[in-house]
Amino acid sequence: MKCTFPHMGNIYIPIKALLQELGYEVIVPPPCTEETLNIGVALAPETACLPLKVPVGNFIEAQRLGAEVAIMAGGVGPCRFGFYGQVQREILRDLNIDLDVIILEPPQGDWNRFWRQVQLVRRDQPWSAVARALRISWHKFQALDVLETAARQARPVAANPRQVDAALSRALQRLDQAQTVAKVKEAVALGVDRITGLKVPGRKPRLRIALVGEIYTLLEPFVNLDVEKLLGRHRVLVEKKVQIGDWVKHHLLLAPLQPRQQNQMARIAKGYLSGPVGGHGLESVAHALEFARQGVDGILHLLPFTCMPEIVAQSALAQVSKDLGLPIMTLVLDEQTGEAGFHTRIEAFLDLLSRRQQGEPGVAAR
Amino acid sequence: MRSVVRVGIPRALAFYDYGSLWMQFFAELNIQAVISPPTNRSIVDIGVRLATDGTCLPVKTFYGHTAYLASRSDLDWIFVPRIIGVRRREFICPKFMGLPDLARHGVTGKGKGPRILAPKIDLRTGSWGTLLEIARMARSLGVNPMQAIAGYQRALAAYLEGRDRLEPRDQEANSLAKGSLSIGIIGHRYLIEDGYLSMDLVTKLRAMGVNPIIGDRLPQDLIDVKAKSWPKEMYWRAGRIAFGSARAFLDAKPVPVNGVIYIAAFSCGTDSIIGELVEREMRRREMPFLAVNLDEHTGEAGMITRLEAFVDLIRWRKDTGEMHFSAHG
Repeated sequence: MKCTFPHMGNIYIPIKALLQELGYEVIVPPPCTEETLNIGVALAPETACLPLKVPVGNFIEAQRLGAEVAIMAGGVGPCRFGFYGQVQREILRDLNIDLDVIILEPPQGDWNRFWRQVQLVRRDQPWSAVARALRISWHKFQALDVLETAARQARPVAANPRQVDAALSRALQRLDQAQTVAKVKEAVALGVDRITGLKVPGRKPRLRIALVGEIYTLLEPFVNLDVEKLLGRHRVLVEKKVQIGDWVKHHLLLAPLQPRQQNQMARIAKGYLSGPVGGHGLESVAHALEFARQGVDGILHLLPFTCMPEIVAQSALAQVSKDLGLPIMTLVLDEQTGEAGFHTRIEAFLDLLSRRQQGEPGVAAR
Repeated sequence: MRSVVRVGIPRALAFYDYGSLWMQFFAELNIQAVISPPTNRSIVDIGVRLATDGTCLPVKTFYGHTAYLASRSDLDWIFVPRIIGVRRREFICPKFMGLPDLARHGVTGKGKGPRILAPKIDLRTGSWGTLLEIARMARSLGVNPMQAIAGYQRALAAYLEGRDRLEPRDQEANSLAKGSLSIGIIGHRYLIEDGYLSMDLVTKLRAMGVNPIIGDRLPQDLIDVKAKSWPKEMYWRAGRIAFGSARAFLDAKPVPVNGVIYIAAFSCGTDSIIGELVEREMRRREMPFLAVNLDEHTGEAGMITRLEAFVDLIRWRKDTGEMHFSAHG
């Protein structure tokens, strides 16, 4: 069966490995382009956020390449994301597009349904194949974090940040081709080596900026207009806590510890946000406060337009910025976001941070 | 400090569902509750100015009501409960979960005015947590916690009784106008019942000879049963009511309707999804459907025109039996 899934950064590498091991023929959707976005915008509800719209484009582009089944994540609230798969399924159905959407949801007490989902995806593969599939994709997920972090750290201090981008994409290619866990480890070691080899000894980044916000906009470079690479080229050291391997670890493997982790987040965010507001709203505020303590020069808060949890976080972050005197800029991303305007805003933000760093008086945090 | 504690309650959002419960509760404790006035132009304008861009109209309006209360020096507290969920496996909209924080950062700040009183209401896993929160809140208010819990129990009983009494009456009203046109109305109570935000849409429909049937007022068990027939269990309170009443209208329960109007708030996150799914189902079943999207710029004249056009259309359809013209707004 020909199977596809939506893009989110580089997750296509581990997901492809997972599905191939399960015996699917995988059709990776073409990389997100303006066309992908246009398809999604035309078909999806207007005020839904980009994590609904762009995947619609991914699905339709993959279907044109022969995909018969699309796998989408679900959810149990309160963020809207839990219904995106449903909406996507209905959009395709009303258009008579022959693409089945399988939605994977957490069990939430309904273990029967969960079991049926697992069986549906597993088909007739033996459990040993499932274990193998999970193992290799797990390692690939973790590998993404390692390689991307290495690239983030190397870019601002490399002779030419673009060489880091190139080294990263070669490393990702090797990771994609690795068929065994040993090969994955080899690819990671080689990749990290090549990437860190590009650092110029003794060179310091110009600024340190943390990225916080909604996970899809943080992970998908098409949606965030490649903000990490852009900042790297401006010699900015980028830090972020929301990473895909880490997310998989916490949400799938350590799911039972989830409430404890949320309590910890709530303790950090105390005084600004008193508890979870769905999605990554609480995390955004807690992460910002942690980064502030670590002495970053500024924070960029990314969210898709109309994102409910992050709108709440945004107003809390305004208070954080005021109280700590730390510049925080919110970037709302949607189909109208133009590259030129986006770059200008980031450059202005960087200028502000540099001037503050040089102790220029009278430069406000906002 | 004054001897009598005075608490302000914003007339917005959950007030339309639970206001009577809250007022009764404060009355039980001899605390004076002050409700902000019905929404008006200046409240909306202030809210729009204070709220973050991208906030939905009802939350902007909530900012306005809270700002009105914050400006009153005779209040000690503003009551903004942090409502997570009121039933098992159900959430309220994510923005409700952050309301006290929004009010603190966006409206009251750290000034001298009234402070935000924010008990956490989460009935998804039973009522114990809520009782504890009430006891904690009582301490802030200088009331004996046990007394507060007892007061809450009495207020809750009165509220539930009142709600049960209300339903049959509504049903009766719903079945009254058999001969005339019936239109099902889906939408948040805080929109439909806010005369300013909804521009008295329901009253206007009645004036056009339409019998409006409010989905939110249908019997709870009917809504629950009908909501189950959708492919995925709905996890928002408002969504379940919308799903349940949409299906009830399609199945001609409790009375047949000639069309359905969905009243949404501009930039409401839940409406964007629920409305989309409901609309697709209505189209498939050829139910005349009008989506009204309210924002602070909605003009009354335009709204009346759209309502009239919709009503004319379904009346026409009904009288001539002709189904071939589209009835989707």
